[in-house]
Amino acid sequence: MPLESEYLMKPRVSRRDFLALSASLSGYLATGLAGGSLLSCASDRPASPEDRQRVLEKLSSTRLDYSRARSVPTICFGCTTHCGVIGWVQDGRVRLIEGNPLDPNSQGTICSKANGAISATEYPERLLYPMRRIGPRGSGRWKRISWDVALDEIADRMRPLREAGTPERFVFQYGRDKTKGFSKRFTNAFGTPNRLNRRSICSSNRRAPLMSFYGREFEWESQDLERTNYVLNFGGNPMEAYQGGLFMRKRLMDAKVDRGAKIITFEIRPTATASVSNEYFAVNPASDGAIALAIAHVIVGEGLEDRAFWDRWSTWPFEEMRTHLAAYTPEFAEQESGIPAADIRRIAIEFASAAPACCTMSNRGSAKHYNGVQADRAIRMLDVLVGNVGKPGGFCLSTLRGWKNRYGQEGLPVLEQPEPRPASPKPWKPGTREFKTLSPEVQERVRNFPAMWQNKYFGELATPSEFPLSWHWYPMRVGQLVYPYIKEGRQKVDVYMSYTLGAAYGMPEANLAREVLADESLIPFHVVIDISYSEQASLADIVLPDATALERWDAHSTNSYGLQPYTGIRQPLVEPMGEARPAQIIWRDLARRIGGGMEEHFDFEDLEEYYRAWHKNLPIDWETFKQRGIWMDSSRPLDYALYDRPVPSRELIGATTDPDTQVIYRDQNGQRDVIGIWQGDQAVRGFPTPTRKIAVLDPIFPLAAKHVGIPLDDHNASPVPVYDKVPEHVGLDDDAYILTTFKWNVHTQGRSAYWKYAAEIVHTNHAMMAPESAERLGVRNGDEIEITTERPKGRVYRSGESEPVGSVRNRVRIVPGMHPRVIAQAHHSGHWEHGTIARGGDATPSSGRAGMAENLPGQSELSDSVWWSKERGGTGGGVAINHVYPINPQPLVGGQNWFDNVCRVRVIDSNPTRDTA
Amino acid sequence: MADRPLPSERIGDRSPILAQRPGFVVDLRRCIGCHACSVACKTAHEIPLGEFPMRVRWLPRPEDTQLKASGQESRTFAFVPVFSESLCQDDPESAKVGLDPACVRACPTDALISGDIADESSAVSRVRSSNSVRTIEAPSAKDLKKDVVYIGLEDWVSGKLNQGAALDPRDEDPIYEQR
Repeated sequence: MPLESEYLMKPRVSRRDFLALSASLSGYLATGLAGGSLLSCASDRPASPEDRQRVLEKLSSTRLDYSRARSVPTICFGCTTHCGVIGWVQDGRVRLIEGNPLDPNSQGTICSKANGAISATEYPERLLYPMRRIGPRGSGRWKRISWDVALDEIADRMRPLREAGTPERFVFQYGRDKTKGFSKRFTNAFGTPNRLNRRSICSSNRRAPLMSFYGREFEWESQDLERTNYVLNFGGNPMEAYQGGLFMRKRLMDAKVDRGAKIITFEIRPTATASVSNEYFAVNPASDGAIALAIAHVIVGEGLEDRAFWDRWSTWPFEEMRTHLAAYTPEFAEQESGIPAADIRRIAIEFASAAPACCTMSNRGSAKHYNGVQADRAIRMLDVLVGNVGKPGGFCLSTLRGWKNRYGQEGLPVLEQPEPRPASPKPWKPGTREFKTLSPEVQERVRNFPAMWQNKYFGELATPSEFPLSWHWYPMRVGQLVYPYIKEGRQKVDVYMSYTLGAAYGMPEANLAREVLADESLIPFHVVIDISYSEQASLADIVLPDATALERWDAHSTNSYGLQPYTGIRQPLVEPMGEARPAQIIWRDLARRIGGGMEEHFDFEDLEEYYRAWHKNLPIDWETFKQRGIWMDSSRPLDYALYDRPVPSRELIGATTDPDTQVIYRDQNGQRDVIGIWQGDQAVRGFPTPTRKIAVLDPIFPLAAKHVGIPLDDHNASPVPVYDKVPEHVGLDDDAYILTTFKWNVHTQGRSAYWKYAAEIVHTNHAMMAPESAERLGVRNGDEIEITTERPKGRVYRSGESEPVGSVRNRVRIVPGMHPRVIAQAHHSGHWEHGTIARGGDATPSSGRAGMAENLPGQSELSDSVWWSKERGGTGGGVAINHVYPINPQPLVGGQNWFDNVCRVRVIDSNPTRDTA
Repeated sequence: MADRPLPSERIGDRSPILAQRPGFVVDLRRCIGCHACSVACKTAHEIPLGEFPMRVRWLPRPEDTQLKASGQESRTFAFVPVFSESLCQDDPESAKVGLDPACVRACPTDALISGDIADESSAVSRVRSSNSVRTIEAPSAKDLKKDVVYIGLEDWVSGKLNQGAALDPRDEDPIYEQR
């Protein structure tokens, strides 16, 4: 095989373009350096043509040459999973990304999204310069400004809020923030508690049940898939998109193919995970809880439970549980879910017989429903029932928070942001100035809160009082209510900063987000920090160009599916392009300009020094850490049965035991630290919950319900797992469908539509439906339909209003294996910003081009090669759908019930000449 | 885990892969349809949009091929990586330094194996000579690479490949189909 193959020699994009790309990318680097200090960001000077030419002359080859390229480890930012990766860097460009074999989660694997970071970094329509609007907000008229002008203006808007003692009027909201507390350093130093997110859009319904069971330390679990023999998967999709656990795919496939482990999947459409499962059941949406409770019913009926484990660790007395389960027969579950009772019975016996090498898995499919919190509690109960918790092959827990000597972190080095760290804002207790800004109704509710909640309350955006379980464990927030709350005047806003946030495109009722963002009386000043010119940026006053994942530092830690805690470092592989700056530098420079003491917390010049100080307690030197990208103590015992680990005798000195509960605690400095529980004559750690047990029965649910006026007979108020049908699914009409949404395996939320190789594979979002549904509607592939959604009927936002939420027209795609009641549309298509690729080849010049480089290399590819553009007879970039999904937060926890939406379908264009599936 | 070599450390440890006949084995039992392989290939070689040295097909399973234990209808997909005879060059840059091709290194589930099929002792040859491997009969398919064999190849998939299953995503896949 000749190395210089004909294929590679063949002119493709055109060799000239290709060289020009490398040249000018490197050109930006060369000039951005200004003195060679990494990330000095000192230069406001754009690359000149001469600079680019100089670099061009130095380039000898554009082929990837592994013997010449540097390989640099970092942490992927392609999705929520954050795998350790390695980038090959040649001539100032990242040429390829592959897995880092040292990462115990990914085990050296990647997915297609890892290389998306290169697409993002080299996107010809990427934002490279700060810009300010010159027309009315949203008019798309901008001018490029210098960093000094931009930062001065923002600081001048923010400073008076801090000086007037109203820092909460600065509202910061992020879509994806993996700075591990750096952005919080900024908001804390400023003094605002309003550091908002979109966790409720994603996973809060699924985290809350887990934290209720196992304590705040465990908002995510780590199944021991390497050793499991049986996996019960309720709506999780680890082969495509599974928050924080995409890397489970390798251990799962190894378990299945090499060891014959069985995977059972309950889903509503044939995902990749359903496809590689041994059994896939298309369930009625939101019936997962009924199935789980019926499985529990069978296990108890057959006497297959681990009674000793249950009695030792569950807060729910066994006999009470048995009585409670009596009504949840497999026949009842069949009626609710459509899954044959015989299968439920068989699966229950198989699961329990495999214990302890069996585990449950669940995610959005089970949790993002009105009854999803209770469904996940029912699913989690199965592991406790068969006693697989913390056992080899079972449902394990491995620490996932920053290393600060917390539960499960014994012996790990403490890793903390460098001093001086700013103090957190003070809670808005009755009597405080902030408290007085609240409406009388909210004041009344907060006044009646128990002290533990008054101490955690920070106003309606950060800690919405109607959703106490969205912040009881930690502030998960209710992101989809931020815009309605601002509109209603629940929080006065002066400055709003969006960081990597795609709300204007992707929030449910995205039209409402856009309406609020466009209204200068509600949001007087809007700053956007992002990589590409987003829909959110189009509604800003100032837009600042962020560095990409390949151009920045971040600390990294998460739970380990290898069951040994590890930490990693995201480091820059290349310098930020153009004038883009890492967000940390932007916040540092803002803090310095705002002043008033804020700058003391940002006294560093070099980000590398900052991160080195953060990791100073690691037992390896910094250079080695950078070269390996990952550190863990591989001699550490696996994280099995943390609950059985003894409390060291030195901690027992001066400790007290509660005689009723056997809980061991220490009172220090007016604070009560619970450190363990007596099991017979042994003091062990137990679980990090208030009872030190697994709270299968948790009184927090009725307590929260009582405080927000939910009756105690409502399923949301139940202290034990229950099932109740989603109100709007009761007596569903024959012509009604349930509209859901999902992510494809090559995409990640609204942030990947401009990655060229991802967009090439998936760029559209048909309305997917089962053949039976298509037949009922009389439609074929490609026919146009109009989908109109209705308001939900539970105790949620705008419940029961008769006016439809919204309509969208889309093309039919028939997919065998879909549940016949479900219509599914992928989430991430239909962009009208993010440039040519995201817009499906629509090369109309972007209104945000003032912030982009002119004539960037690769631009000809945008205009000539997007083969799926409408101009070339393709489908273009799909349709925007997110305005038809109603804002629908689960009561108490606040997670968005993405998958409950009742809709009606009208056929617009039924073309008999189109293909059938 | 901590002792595993980084890719850069493997360079130099291994001689160039001077394969006389580079070949692939695709283990269809392991493929999860994730596209990591094709995106890594296109990135490493800067392949223009619209051209596919290899890609992953999502093929809807015919009803009678569904593995199911229950009586319930549950149709799913089969995932099939396919390689282009004219465009796939077996990644000479990686071979030069003894690394597996970019697509093989990117596969998260070890569904792709590559090596020298002229060398009977190579891992890829050993797998190819085992009973589980099936070639596509008489590959009349337009542009499908000849030296790719499959583990777990079902008749209906083999039939599809023979009918000219293309590398172009515009052609057939029911999910990704673009027209």
